[in-house]
Formats: sequence, structure tokens, C-alpha cells
Amino acid sequence: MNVTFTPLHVLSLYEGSQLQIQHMTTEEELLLATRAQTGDKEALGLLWDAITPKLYGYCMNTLRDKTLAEDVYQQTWLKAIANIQLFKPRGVRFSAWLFAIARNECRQQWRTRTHEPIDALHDDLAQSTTPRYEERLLIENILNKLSETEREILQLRYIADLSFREIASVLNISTISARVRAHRAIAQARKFI
Amino acid sequence: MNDKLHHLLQKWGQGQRRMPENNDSEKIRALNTLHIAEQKVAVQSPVRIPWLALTCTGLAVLIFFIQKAPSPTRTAQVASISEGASLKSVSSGFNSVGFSSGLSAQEPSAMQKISRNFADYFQPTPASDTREFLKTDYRTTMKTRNIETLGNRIQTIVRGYGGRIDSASIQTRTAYISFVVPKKTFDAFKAELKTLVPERFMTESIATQNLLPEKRLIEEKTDMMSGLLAEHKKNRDALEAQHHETATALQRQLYGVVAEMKALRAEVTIDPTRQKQIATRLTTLQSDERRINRNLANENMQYNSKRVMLDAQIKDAEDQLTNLDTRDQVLGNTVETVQGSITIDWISIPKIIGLYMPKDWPSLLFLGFGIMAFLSYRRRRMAIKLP
Repeated sequence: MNVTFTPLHVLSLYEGSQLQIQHMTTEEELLLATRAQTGDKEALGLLWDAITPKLYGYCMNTLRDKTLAEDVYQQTWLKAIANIQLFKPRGVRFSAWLFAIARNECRQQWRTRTHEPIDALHDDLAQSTTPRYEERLLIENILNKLSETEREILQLRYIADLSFREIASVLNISTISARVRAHRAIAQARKFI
Repeated sequence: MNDKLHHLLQKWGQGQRRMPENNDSEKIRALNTLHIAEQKVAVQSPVRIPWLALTCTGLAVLIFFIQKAPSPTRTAQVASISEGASLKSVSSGFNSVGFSSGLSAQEPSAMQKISRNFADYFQPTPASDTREFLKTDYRTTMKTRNIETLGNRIQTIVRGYGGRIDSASIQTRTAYISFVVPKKTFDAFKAELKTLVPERFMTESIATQNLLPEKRLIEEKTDMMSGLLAEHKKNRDALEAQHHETATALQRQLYGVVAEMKALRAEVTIDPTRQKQIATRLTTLQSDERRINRNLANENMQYNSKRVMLDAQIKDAEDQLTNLDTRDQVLGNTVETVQGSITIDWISIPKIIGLYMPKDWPSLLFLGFGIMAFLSYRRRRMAIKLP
């Protein structure tokens, strides 16, 4: 398969188990998604490498359960690949579509499973060397005090790295509402510092 | 603070991103399922056209242009009104300057008189004359749900401000009241009228016109007629004096002739020569007496004829002055009063709502619906379809 968008825009730099992904532009991501819709596995692989860290991080932070997060991210990818023809690039990236599926999966998991979530913070901290422990502890404490809606919008904004328009698409609200909710969440978070 | 929190959240978000432990195996497993997706027939959803938004917008545009388009009936009415107004102004011009001299012998033809008066009336007023004789016309239209109450109340107010009702017609759906109020109470009267209905339910127009040209015309005519009257009186006096002098001279001659005749007839003489002289002289004197009487009769006749003509001229001039004085008083009254009319129309509830809405509210309403429909359509179209 001839991939014309090389050199790779998705730069993977492994630091232990942590992966840092260089930001992929909307056009690049849409191009890869279009190619993946035609059966290009290489394009899909690049998308996987670029999106999976965010997706897994989002699932982990949402579900607070490593096993559950792995199940959800796998289910998300399998559903997305199985229904990749449904993806319509209407101003949002492929990752936004993927996060919408993941959010739906997470909600289904919350509805079907009743066991207490395991706080993954300490595991995360043990695996990570950056950023610093105090800062992460502070943010986690703040997020725990926020409402579900506020926490979700910050997760989509800072873990999934979605734009307000994409967040609006994922949450099925208007872009203005997404922007306002995000600002309110940050304002609320500032009170707990 | 905000930047610091944003920075912390960004670092936190980056810290949350990581690859799962079994990433490679899961990736291979997932990618292997892609060939199944490849064989799936792509479900091509038909392009959905936002019919509701387009319909609403189309209706908005249609209504907008229908409202903006001039009505042929309305245009015709406006044309006829303006034509009538111009005719009225010309006729009023004739009326205001239609003074008759009353001198049939010296009178110009009617058309000449009209054209002369017309030209006089439209003589430009010099800029140095800054006097104002403002005639005020007040017209207002009110809308109400209770015609009779409002009509009666307006009549009471007119009378309360020292005015009079000229005509009033109150029906179930409309009313018309024409009135005159003194100018000094007009402002207070107008302010009270405005308290009767809300501002949006009332339209008023005040037209003022300076009657200085008419005033100047009256003044000029008065001066001219006064001069003419004085001249006629002077001529009459001269005629009377001349007649008196002529008649006196003739009468003096007549008295002399009669006295001589009387003396000759009283003279008693037997002298035939003298008797012949007396007879000859009496014959001459009788002839003179007849001539003088004839002259005196002619003088009286001429005097009477001229006197009648001058009296007629004087009377006509006096009548003209009286007429001018009346016109001056009428003008003064016109300036001191305000003529007005109030039309009261019944208003329906939808029209009341329309008064408080923008002028193009139907098209704006449909445009709003159109925008809402389009936003809804766009939101539905942009919504992510989940598998």
C-alpha cells in the first residue's frame, strides 16, 4: 500500500511504558481514516498508534479499572473497525468518533457492572516519572471534587486532546455549550486549588 | 492562575496517555478484522436536504417581498389624493383673492381679473417681512377597542379646552370628530389626547402654514381701496362744488332776468315808443329765461348722473374695505385657532400584537424558524453516528 503522507506525522517516543505522540492534524487524521475505510491496514495501524494512548488513558481515567479499561478500549477499536464505513468526516476527526464510541462503551460498562472501581492513581504514579507526583495528586484531588459532567469534559479536553467542536460532537451538544461547560469546569477547579 | 491550572491540566492529560500492556497483540488482532469491514457494503446515506429550513426561509423571503411591493390600489389612491389637493389649493387661491371692484364699466373681463388676482396672490413675499401668521392643522388617528367611550371623551376634552366640535360621527368600528381649539390651549389639549391611548396606538400629524402672503394681499388691497375711496370722495366733493357754483351763477342770471321782466311789466307808460321798447326787451328776456332754465336743467341732470356714479364707486369701495376687514378678522381667527380632526379606528387583537412587533415580523418569524430548522438539521447532520 502506497502511503503518501510519510514521513510519519505520528512520532512515537517510548519512555519506559509511556508513549508520547506528536499531534496529528485533522487533515492527516482524516486522510488516514479515509484510507482505512478502503481497507488500508497500514493507515489504520498509524491511527491506532496515534489514538490508542489517548483512548486507553481516557478509559483508565474514566473507569478507574485497568482490566475494564482494556476491555473497553479493545471493544471500542473492534466496533470502530467493524463499522468504519459509518464514519463520516464532517469537520471532526476520526479520534472524536472513536471517543464517542468509547464514551458510550464506558457508560454501558457503568450500567452493567456494579463493582467498585479500583483507583488507578497509585499504579499510574508508579509507572510514570513525569509529571511530578505532587502536581498529579493535586489534579486528581481537584477532579474528584468536580461533578461527573465537569470531569468528563476535562478528560475529553486534556486526555483525548479534542477541540471544543469535537467535544460538542461527542457529547451531542453545541460548540458554544461545550466551550461554556469547559470554562465552568476550569473555574470550578480553580476554586479547589 | 488560569494559565498555571491550564498548564497543570495539560501535563496531567499527557501523563494519562499511555499504551496498554498488550497493545501489539491487540493491534494485530484488531487490524486483522479490517478485511471484514473492507467487504462490507458501504451504506451510503442519501443526501438529506433541509426542506423545513428551506421552506421557512423561502416563505420569509416571499412575505418580505410581498410586504415591500407597492399596492396598485394604494398608488392610485395617493395619485388621486395629490391631484385633488392641487385642485383644492388652486381653487382656494381664487377664493382668497376673488375681490370684485363693482365697477362694471371699468371692470376687466372675469378671466383677466382672475389671472391678475392669481398673479397677485403668488407674488413672492420679501425676505425682510418676517412676520408669521401660522395656520395650524392637526390630524390624528387613534386605535382603540372601545370607540364610543373614546369618542365621547375626546368631545368632552375639546369643549373643556375652550374648543368647539364642528362635526362628530361615532359608529361601531370607526369614529370621526372634527373640531377647533384655541391655539393657546392646543399644547395642553394635545398632551391630554396622548394620555388616552398608548403611544403606539396613535399617529398624529401637525401641518403649519404661514398665511403671510394672504395677509400682505389683504393689506395691499386695503391700502389700495382706501386710496380709491378717498379719491372718489374727493371727486364727489369737487363735483358738488362745481355744480353749486354753476347752478348759483345760472340762478343769479335767472333772477336778474326775472327781476327785469317784472320791472318792465310793472312800468306804466302811454308813450308808444317806450311801450314798443318794453315789448322788445321782454321778448329778449323771455328768450334768455328759457335758455337759462334749459342750461340749469342740463347742469342738474349732468350733476345727478355723475353723483350717482361716484356714489356707486364710493359704496363699492366701502364694501370692499368691509370685505377686506372681514377677511382680516377671519385670518386672525384662523391664526389664533387650530383646526383638527381625529379619526378613531377599532383595532383587533392580532393588530395590537402587530403594533408591538417589528414591521416585518412575519418574515422575521419565518426566518427565525428557518434558522432554527437549519441549526437543528446541521446538528443532526454533524452528530456522530455510533455503531
